[in-house]
Amino acid sequence: MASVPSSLSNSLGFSRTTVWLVVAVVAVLVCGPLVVLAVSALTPAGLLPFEARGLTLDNLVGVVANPDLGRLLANTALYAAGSMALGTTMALVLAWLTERTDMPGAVVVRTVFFAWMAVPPAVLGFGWILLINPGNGVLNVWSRALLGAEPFTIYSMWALIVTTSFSVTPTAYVMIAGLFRNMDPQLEDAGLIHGARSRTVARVITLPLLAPGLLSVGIYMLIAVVQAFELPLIVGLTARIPVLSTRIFLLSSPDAGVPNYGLAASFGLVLLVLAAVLMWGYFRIVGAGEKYRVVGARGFRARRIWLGRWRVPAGLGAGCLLVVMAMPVLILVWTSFLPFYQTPGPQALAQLTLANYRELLTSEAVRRAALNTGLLVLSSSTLVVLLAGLVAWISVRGRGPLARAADVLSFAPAAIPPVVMAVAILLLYLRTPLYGTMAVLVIGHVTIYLAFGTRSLSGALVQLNRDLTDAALVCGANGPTMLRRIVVPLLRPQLVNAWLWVLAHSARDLTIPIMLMTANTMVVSSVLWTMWDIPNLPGAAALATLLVVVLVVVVVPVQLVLSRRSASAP
Amino acid sequence: MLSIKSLTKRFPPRDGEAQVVAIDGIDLDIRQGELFALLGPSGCGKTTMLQSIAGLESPDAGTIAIGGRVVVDVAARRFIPANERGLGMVFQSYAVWPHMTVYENVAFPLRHGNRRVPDDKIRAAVMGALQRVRLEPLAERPAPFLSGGQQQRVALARAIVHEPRLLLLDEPLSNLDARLRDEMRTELRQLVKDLGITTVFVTHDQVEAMGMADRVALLNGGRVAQIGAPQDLYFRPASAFVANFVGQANVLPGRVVERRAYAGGVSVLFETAMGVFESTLECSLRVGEAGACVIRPGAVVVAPESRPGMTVCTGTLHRPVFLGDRIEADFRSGEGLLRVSLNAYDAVDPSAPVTIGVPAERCVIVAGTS
Repeated sequence: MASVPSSLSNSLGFSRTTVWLVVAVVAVLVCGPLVVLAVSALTPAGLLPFEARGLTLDNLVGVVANPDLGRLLANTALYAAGSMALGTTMALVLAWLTERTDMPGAVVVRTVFFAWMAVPPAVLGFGWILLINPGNGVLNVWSRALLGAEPFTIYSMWALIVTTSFSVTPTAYVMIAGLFRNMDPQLEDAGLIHGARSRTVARVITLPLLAPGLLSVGIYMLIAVVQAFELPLIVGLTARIPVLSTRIFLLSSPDAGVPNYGLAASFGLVLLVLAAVLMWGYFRIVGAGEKYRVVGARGFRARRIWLGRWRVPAGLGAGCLLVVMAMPVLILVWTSFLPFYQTPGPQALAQLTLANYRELLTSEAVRRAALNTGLLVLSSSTLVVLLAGLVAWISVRGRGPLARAADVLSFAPAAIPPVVMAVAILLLYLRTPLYGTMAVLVIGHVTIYLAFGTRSLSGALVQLNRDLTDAALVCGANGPTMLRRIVVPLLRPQLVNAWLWVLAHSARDLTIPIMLMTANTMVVSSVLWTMWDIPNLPGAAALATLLVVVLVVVVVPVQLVLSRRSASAP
Repeated sequence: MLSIKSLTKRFPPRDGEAQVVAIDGIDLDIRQGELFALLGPSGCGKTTMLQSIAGLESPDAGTIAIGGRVVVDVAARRFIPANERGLGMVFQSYAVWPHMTVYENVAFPLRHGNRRVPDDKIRAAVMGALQRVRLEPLAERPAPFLSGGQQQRVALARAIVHEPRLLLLDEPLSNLDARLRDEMRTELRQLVKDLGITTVFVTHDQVEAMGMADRVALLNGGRVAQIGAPQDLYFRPASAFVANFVGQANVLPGRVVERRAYAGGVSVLFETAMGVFESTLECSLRVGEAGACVIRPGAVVVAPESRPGMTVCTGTLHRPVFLGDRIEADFRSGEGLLRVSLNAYDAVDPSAPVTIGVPAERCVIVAGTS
């Protein structure tokens, strides 16, 4: 019996050794930090993991017995639930307005929300502090002049919730708009045709159909906010609203005293379990969503509801929301042109200056940080796309336990909060030569963003008809040729999108850079944080402005081209 | 019953492309109880037409009246929304709501429609509709657990349960497999005929249109190419386009050489590359004008008796294809070529000369060649 040519028996297109290698790399990336985290939690205080002879439960007992634990959990829950509810509601209303009605300015909303990816949460935090801090916050100063009262304060739970919900609304919007787009409009038309009024259709058909999707978006947002670190750090620390993520940070990099890694790791485990439970719930609901899948429709364009006399108010409302969301960025831009922070007004106009920018651009530290940032974002985005592409390909097309292992391993980091991962990576690499180099930052970002890369690329690969690649093999192409000539070109939009997403998030991330901060590993976001901390407000504002401008210039045009191309594709 | 006058719908140009005129001034009159098909290739405007009748699309010009009630009059700025038109519709994707049971789906028009029905009447009406589509036993089944054929029946039951004035079907058979399609064609026609509901359906499949409809409107490029009974479209196509779209046809370009009186009518002699054909069917062309002669493969008679009105031609048969119920072959005579259909039991001898005839009443002369 002739043996089947290996390239056809294994339609993956590369050898088993490569598969093993990829799975091993992912396993080391993901499991290494987790093992160290667990060991650290069991290591006596004052020692580093693997230094102690015996293990102890002291840290875990300390966490459970901690009188603060209840308050931490309650704060985290209130913060996460509040931001999720507010953010998802705003996103739902906006998605309905832009996808299903004739509201004017839908394109503007869509473009701004796509561009929002370029705005780091830390920058939003700084901006909101300048806007509504008690004392000299712009909105407070103005309202004191007009109404004689100071209605806002940034240092409160509600301000933390509102600012966080503004920062998550765009992500929720993109997801919910996708839900609307994937829903067969014939399902709603069928309700209208058979005599139901628009309101009845919305209540009896649209909302129940969207419910599973909305629930999964809600849980996804909940996970994101539970894991959120930057805004709780910038706004929450001053407000004395500790949540789990900031507690972990403070334990491992205290302002004064020695880091308590054992306790930090133990709190990290608590946060990890919380996120993992939510993630489990998320996958349960995503699974349930499958049962609502029906025969798709083609050729019908979704009809838009006529808002009539509500058309202009709806557009104005959406416009106001965009302005409010943009305010923190605007105030930073304003501050960046001043020698010292002042509220906007005619008296400040005379002092406008470019000195801050001049100083930044000539500063040796900033130049090195910019180079480091370039190195960090380019290498982590490229490595993530390469690794995630391989893993997605193996898990979608491969068979057997190895393929399943690749799938589970690459998904796991989604449940690991970045701040926990940062502590774990710190503990793992602390005593290796890698610590204090840019490599450890790259490893951190690759690990954190691998889950996103794999998820979006497997989603795209599942859609890719198997016959397309089999045809290439039958035509005589070998595996690598098939991947290069068929798979990569067909998936180019998704590959570019994932690459850009990782690039933007790697540039704006503050978690890994400040937790692994050393003199040699300063990047733009950590320089921004130290300038703000000094405080050098105009300098920080100028750097934030530059960062946002560069990200917008890189991200938005590519996204516009990609979305236009996918819209015109058949 | 359904009266449409000079209906027009344009779609705004999308980047780089020209504006699309989906419907270009169409008039239609559909009678009470009629089963009417809108047939045409993709992009001919048939779906836009159906959506305009349904109220899911707003036309740019024209009027639509259903049962004497004007639902669209663009000039008078009148537009009755879809939910007030009293319609039933089966969508191409069936649009059976996946979060409801079969019963809840079918009860929807009675519960949420604009003519509410008292609760005690609903059950009887829903079960009656389910009985008509033979789905009574599945009433309590959740919609996602239905096959494609069952989903279609649910959609149909939902569309008739409230006894609408007008039933609309969008490509009703296109998502079914071939065998089920043949079955449903007969069943669907029987059902709407029993109910006596005026029905308009859209299809791109000529077999579906011919097999189900009382009358067919063949659309092309947003205009009506021909309206008539299926036999009219097949035997007396108004243009080469109709002849080619509905069944197979030989279209022989040529021109009229003579018109003469013939048994109470007019007989036309039409010259083509294959010779001169005689036609006794109605023809608007004058002597000397160019057009085309349409001959169906099945119109040809082998070894014809010689009689007046029979165009006879001798040649040879090539490339015979055995199709079970018939044989199709190319008949060659000089420069000309004619696709002909023969009885499956006739032997075809490719080398021997054969004589064929085309009766004048089977020969259609049309203007233009496309």
